Amino acid sequence: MATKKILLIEDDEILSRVMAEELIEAGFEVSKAYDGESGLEMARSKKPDAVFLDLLLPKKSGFEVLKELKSAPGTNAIPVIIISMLGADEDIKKGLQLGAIDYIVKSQHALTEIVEKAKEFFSSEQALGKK
Amino acid sequence: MSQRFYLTSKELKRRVKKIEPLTASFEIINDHIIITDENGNILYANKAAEFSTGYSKQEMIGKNPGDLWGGKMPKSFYEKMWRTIKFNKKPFIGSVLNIRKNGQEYWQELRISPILNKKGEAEFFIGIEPEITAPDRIKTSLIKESEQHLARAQYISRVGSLEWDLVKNKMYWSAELYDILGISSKQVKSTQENFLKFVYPEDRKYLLKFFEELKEDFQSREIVFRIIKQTGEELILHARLSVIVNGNQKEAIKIVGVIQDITERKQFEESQYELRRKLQYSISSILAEFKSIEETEEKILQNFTEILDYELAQLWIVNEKENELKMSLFWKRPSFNPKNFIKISQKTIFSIGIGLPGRILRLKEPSWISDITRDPNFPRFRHAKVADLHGAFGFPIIKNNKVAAIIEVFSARIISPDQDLLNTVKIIGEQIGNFISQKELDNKIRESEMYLFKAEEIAHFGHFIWSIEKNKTEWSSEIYKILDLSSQRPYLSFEEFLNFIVPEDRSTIVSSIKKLIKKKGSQMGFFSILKNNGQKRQLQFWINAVEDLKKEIKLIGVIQDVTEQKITQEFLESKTKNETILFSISDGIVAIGLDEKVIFINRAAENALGWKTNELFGKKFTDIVRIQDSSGADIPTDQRPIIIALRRGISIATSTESLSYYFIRKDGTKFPISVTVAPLILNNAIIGAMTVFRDVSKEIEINRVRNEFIAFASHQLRTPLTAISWIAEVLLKKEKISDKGQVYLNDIRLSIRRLSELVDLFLTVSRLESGKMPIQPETFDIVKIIQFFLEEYEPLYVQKNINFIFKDYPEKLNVILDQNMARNILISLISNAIDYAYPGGEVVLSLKKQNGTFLFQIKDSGIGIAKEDQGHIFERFYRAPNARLIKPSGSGLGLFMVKETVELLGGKIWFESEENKGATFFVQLPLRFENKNGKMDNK
Repeated sequence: MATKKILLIEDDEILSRVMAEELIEAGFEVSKAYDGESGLEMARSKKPDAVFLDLLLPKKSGFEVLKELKSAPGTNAIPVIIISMLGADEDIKKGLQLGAIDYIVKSQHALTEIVEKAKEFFSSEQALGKK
Repeated sequence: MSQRFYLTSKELKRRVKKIEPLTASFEIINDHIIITDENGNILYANKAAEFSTGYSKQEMIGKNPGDLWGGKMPKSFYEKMWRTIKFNKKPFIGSVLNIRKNGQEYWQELRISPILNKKGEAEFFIGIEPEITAPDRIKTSLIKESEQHLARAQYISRVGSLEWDLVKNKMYWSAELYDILGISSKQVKSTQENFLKFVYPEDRKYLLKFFEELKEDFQSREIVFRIIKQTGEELILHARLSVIVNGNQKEAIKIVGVIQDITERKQFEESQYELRRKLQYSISSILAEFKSIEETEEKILQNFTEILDYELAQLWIVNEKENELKMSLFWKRPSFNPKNFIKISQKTIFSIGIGLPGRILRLKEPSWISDITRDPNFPRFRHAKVADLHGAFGFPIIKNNKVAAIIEVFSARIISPDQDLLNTVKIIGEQIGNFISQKELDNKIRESEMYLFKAEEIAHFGHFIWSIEKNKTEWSSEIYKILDLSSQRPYLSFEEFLNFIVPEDRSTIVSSIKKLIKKKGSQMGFFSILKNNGQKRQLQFWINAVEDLKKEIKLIGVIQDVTEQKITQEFLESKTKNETILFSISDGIVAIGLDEKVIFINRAAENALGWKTNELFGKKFTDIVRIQDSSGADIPTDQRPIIIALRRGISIATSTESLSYYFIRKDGTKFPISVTVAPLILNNAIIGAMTVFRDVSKEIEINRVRNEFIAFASHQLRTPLTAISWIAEVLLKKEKISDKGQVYLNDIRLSIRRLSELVDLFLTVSRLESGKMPIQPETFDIVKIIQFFLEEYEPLYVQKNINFIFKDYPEKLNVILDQNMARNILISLISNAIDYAYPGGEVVLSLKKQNGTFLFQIKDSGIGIAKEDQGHIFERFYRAPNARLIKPSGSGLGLFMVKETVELLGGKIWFESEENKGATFFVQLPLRFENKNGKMDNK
């Protein structure tokens, strides 16, 4: 199984770093973006296997990034998991409606849980025979 | 339905309760209303039904109407009724003979409608019997009066009488009538057919028509007709007949009257008089059949011409100044050729004194011309010659002592004056005039009566006439309304009326009436009455003592219910007294009366609304000051808080949190308000409503800023918290840390978790307050959730050695609510109970279903809530001192959030507690969340 590439779009440097380290340790290849615009740019150029997307981002909000990813032919197939502080139901609903496949509220989960989620996601993808 | 099914008292109670919501509004209706179950057992009866049947509610409930007042009709009637309402499920309408508790029988119109349940079965029946209206009462009394007349007439003149039962179609003849007909009661059966056999063939149709008309309009009337006795003798009879109408006034049930032989009186008349009699008789008949003046006039002209064997009759109308005449109508025999005579008449205007019409106008007497072609004062003589007209006479129609019109009649023959005929036509002229003026008067009276009744209704005033000698009083229907009496009440005497007056006013009123009777003249004043329901009303009266033509003294009075006006007046007077107080209040105050017109507005309201007192006073508040909801849509008048308060008598208050009203100022700008409305109540009656409002723009702005801050802060706080938490997690997992270090790291994580929860609570509260909390109903089993928490919290209560019990709950209870919110409520209450229970104590939970809601109870044996704190514990940031001692770190937000959430879900929360004796919290939530646009909390 080829190494899975994750694009992490998260503006908080510490959270980004801690999360990335754990994901790398778990065997993923991680690239980081700190704002919406560069995140979108990197999603286009790096073609990651999954995007972990924060919502409150500088320059371009996570919802907008998601919308653009899902409307462009080159990026619309990339699975997006939202990782945010916004835990309100309407935000979750909106994110899922825009095409995100999962939603994780950071403050409600331990870091290990998030890494587990990433693993689970890819293994279920594999089981379904996609890629 | 002769078989009766009675109910057990328990079942009766249940059914009575079931229809309770239906019946509140029935109490004030004047129609008798009964609700029964499917077997006819009475579940409800309104006040009017008590009046009409004479039974009290207690006596009626659970009984069958057939046991009480029914059963007087043929069996087939009730069978048909039950078939219609129960099996065909259709409303039934019919006239029914009932019997009051006191044995009195009365006819009533009955309407029964079935109320179907979901299965389409008739579950209840509503029976309505309309109250006897004022006109009906008048009619009834008229019939009584005419009955008395009949009896008197019979007594005086020994005339025959006739009674014709229309229902059974049976006729009864008195002995005198048999005498008149010249037969004995054994010879001929007293049927209508037999009676008609005696009637002169030409008069039969006329008599039958007369009967029909009687049955149609119930007016008593007279008729003259001829009969032929078995001996061949011809008699002329005069009958005066009246109709008796049944209870609901729709059907004639009897014709009664007197019949007099007037042949004898006529016998002395010679044959020449026969003509005049015929003329008079025909004119009387014409008038009796009166439909319109025009038609009657034409018939009169025709009859004169035909009966007297003349050629032409013409009618002349007098102008307003009574000095000129113009022809309006003529009638000629078909065989007569008038040449130009009629045309010339039509073109001519006669001045007073000129020609035959002018002469009659001046004399006000009939006038005769033997031959108009030779008369010096007949300008139309040439045309008369051509038309071959000779003999003529004319007579005035005298109305109110003035000549209103003139009829002239022309013959082809020369005829010498007939003074007897002139006398007759003079009388006929007067008769016609009287008749017409009577008709006009009738119309006027009818009109003015109508206006009077209407006016009384609008102004809430009624009138009465008290004939002192006879001690008989007539009351208009408004008086009954003012006294709250059913107008079905048979008779209200003047003494009974006086008894309504409160004792402290009664003697004054009685003595002033006595004085008034002595001195005549009129008086005005006020008094209070005490209605049967205990309500006190203030009345204003104007009374007048008058002497009628028969020198009988009558007291005529007008009474008006002025309670509301008085209250307004008092309110305004007290307002003047308290002006400084009310005016210094910074909240806007507007009060309206029952008519929704502004009766008070204070300065703060003036300033806030931009309208001055004089612009609002006496006008409908809702017409002038608009109110909108948060979307900018105008609130319809009947949904405005003040109108709801006025019409439903409830108080309503909006809070800043549930804000939804905006007043529109005079200049069109708007401002948000918090408003409290309340009905103004006096003696248990709503007399107006008052609104107290405050411009809450500032509060709203403050709230908005605060909420934004909380939301922002919560998010900004969470990010570093999460970072700390994660780093601690990584550290624990990877780094080699001493045992002590690991304990510290764990402490860090636990503290962060607490901080995180606090931040979450902040965020939830800020959302609740901003009204931005979306509700997402979903189906879940509330029992399961509670059981889940029991497990989750087990370490906590085990640690505190608390006996945690969940009992009295259904196996499963599916609800449709926002699951997160329900969880938050439960978590808060459960963790509170654990926090505040004494170690070694007990926490008992229970859950039960209760008509569309569920009730969750949580009872702890803890510190309890002191009396002085009980009013505050749901307040934001409030913490009772004893709670602070036990748990210093509490936020004071938990119960606030719980209450807000419970109310958001449409539920209620309350508690029972005593300090040191534990507390029981009750949460009642709907089984299914329903999104009401409930912007107001009724308090």
